[in-house]
Amino acid sequence: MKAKTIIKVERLRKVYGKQTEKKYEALKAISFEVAQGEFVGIMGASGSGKTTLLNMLATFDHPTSGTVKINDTEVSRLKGNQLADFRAKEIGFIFQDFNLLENLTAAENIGLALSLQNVKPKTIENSVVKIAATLGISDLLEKYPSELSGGQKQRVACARALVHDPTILFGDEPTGALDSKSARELLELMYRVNEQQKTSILMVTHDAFSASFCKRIIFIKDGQVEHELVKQVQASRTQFYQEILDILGTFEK
Amino acid sequence: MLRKLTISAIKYRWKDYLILFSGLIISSAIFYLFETLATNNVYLHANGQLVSIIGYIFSFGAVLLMLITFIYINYANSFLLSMRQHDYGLFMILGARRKKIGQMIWLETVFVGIVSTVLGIIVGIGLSALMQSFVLKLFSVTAKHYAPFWGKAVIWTLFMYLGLFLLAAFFNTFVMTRKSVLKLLHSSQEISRHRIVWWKQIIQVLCGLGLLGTGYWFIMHPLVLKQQTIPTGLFTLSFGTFFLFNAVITAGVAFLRKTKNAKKGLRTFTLGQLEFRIHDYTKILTGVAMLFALALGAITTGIGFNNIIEKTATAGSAYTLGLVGPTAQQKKLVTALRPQKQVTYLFKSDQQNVYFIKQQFEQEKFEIPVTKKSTFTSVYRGQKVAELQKDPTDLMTAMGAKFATRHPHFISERAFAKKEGSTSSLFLFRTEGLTSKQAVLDKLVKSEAAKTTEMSASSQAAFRGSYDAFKVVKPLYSGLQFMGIFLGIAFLAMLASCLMFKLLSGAFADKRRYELLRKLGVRPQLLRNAIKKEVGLLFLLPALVGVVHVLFGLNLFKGLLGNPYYGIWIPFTFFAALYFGYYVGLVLLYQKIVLSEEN
Repeated sequence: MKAKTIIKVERLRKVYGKQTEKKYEALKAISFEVAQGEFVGIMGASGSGKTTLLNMLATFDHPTSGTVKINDTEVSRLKGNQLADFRAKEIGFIFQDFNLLENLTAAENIGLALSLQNVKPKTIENSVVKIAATLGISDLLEKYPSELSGGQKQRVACARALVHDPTILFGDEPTGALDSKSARELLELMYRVNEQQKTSILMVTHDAFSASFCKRIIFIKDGQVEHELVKQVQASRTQFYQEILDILGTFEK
Repeated sequence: MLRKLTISAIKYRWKDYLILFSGLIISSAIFYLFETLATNNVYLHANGQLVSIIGYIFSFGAVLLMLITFIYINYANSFLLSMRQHDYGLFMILGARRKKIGQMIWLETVFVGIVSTVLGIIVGIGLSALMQSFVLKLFSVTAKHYAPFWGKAVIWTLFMYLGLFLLAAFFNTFVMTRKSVLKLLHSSQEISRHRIVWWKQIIQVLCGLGLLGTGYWFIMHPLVLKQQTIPTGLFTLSFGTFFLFNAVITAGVAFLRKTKNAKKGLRTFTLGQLEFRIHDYTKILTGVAMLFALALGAITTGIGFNNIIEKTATAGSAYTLGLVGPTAQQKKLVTALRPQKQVTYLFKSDQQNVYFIKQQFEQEKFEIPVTKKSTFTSVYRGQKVAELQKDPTDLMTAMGAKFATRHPHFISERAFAKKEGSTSSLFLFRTEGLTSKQAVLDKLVKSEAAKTTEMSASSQAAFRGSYDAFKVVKPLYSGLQFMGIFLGIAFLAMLASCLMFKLLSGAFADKRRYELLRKLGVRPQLLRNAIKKEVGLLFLLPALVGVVHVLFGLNLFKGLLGNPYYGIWIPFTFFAALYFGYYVGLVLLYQKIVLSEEN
């Protein structure tokens, strides 16, 4: 049985520059789909339009034309409270620079999204404890972000993005600010979450190592889909890594 | 190259510089305003005849304002430092020598100081001229010997501000040239979170409550310390307030965060913000609480002087004016005044005597004021004819100079009818709120004077009644009234700029946080409410403390005002409306800065 489609992108365009300025087309009519339970990577060099794409998928930016549907909801039509509630319920987001609120403890940071939905304090506490146990950060809950290392911060951020059980988890270069050990730990964590919790993940990266944890990779160049690579079921991560490097190599030519 | 970098940095951060400059300009302008009163000896002397402690109050007011200015500049300076740290770090990476950087910092600080002080004085001169005409218009109060441009005030403001900025410049140079390059570069990412040890907190609470209690006790018993009461009060209350904010409120916020209720909606966030900020804010909150108390106190006393003018007037006579043979025009004017009481007595007169009808005085008794000493309020008592015969002064002065020296006789109706001469009438009325009715009352006086000029040359000031007393007393108090209202508004403006400065300096750091919250899916309305609450608490806390200070502080004016608490709801309401309006304005401004990219 084919899995349900959760993201449907159709002829998505984004043009920067006001009427009087020189126009710059960051995205040129991109279309693709993501199915439930997938772990998709979006790769491309700097300036390829991958961050622009992610911002529009995550409802942070409006497309010039084309549509983005998440769970059959046309996200560019959402406004005000609807938009806020959609973000709070359907989307989880991990930023490159963590973006934790430094005046809240880890537990408060994680529980924030739930408290906004007026979930009972007791339920929030349970959810926070549960997700913290899953991500192995139970002993960090009472600490403030300034007391955490980069890797720990990103895991807290990950917990915050997952606590409300979103339809899709977005990652914007989540390992970008981490050392290699922390980066590997985080990626393994995301891989596990995808395998075990069946959480759908879409991650933007320019790093082949990070991308090798995905199951499918969409390569973007100059605002267009250049190539798509699907990991074979029997292939190991190292093999997939090699495949990615090969594709990237052909890009440069 | 470095100069180019500096200029481009200023261009890039012009918004921040705008806040810095506007804050400093307002602060120095207000300091100047205050000094125009405090250093104007002629003015103080002329108005201090009634109240010998005025000069004394002013010198301590000046000390307090200096203290607040010191805190204010301290904040402005750290704002400037935090703004420039990153740039200086960058310059060092580019190879600028520490000595050169030190020079730049020194020059920049002094430059900011000079520009804002000079502009501040210019704004101050404009403001004080504006205030003078404003107070004149609103309360019809003129202040003799007051000059908006006052050399001594200019010198004092320059001296104070440039001195402080020079200190700040040395401090900045010292701090900046000792920090490592990396520390400078990443300064904006550092956050500080203070934790006070619990026993220190308890000591602070005890100190705070002790100081406040002592201060209040001395204010309630001003005879114990006499002249020392005011400085003692200012000292104990300022420090008491500081400890109170530092310990009680931080503990309160920390406690609130632990409760179940705090987990709802954005409350966790708001409380988290507050807990992180309150330490940073205690000094400014103390300053704001004290300024709040001073501003409200000054306005209340200023308006209190207005009350006392009316009270003194109404203690002088039971009737506002006496009119002899009132014309239809005059009667119409009187009706417009909505008098509480009106009475007409018929009389006939000859060269030495005035004849009244006895029965009329039995039916409508002639009243005299009885003044209660404790509250300085007057009630009115009707006199028997026998009493009136014994002491007819009030009645005769009410008839004006022409009749004042004649002998009154109270005779029967029949005897009155037999007397020769034409029948005339004395019309008396009483109305309240003389200040607001001056225009009409002056018209009445004028028309009455016009009637009698041909009869007697000395009748100009002859129309006796409480309004006459009002006219005599008003100039004596108007200088003090001006002072009170003037200072009240000046302190209020200082308070406003303090709050704005502190809030806006945090706004740019907040922008990122609110942006993130929006990305996490917080409803725009919730964000706006969170801002309302956070700013609201920063307004409310000092206001509550300030009101308590004022309620105690007013006791000091018992000797001067009789009952200083009389009608305080008027200035309190006026003040609350201003304060609330300012709160709404600041919330809107803050929302605009922080939530600018709302979609």
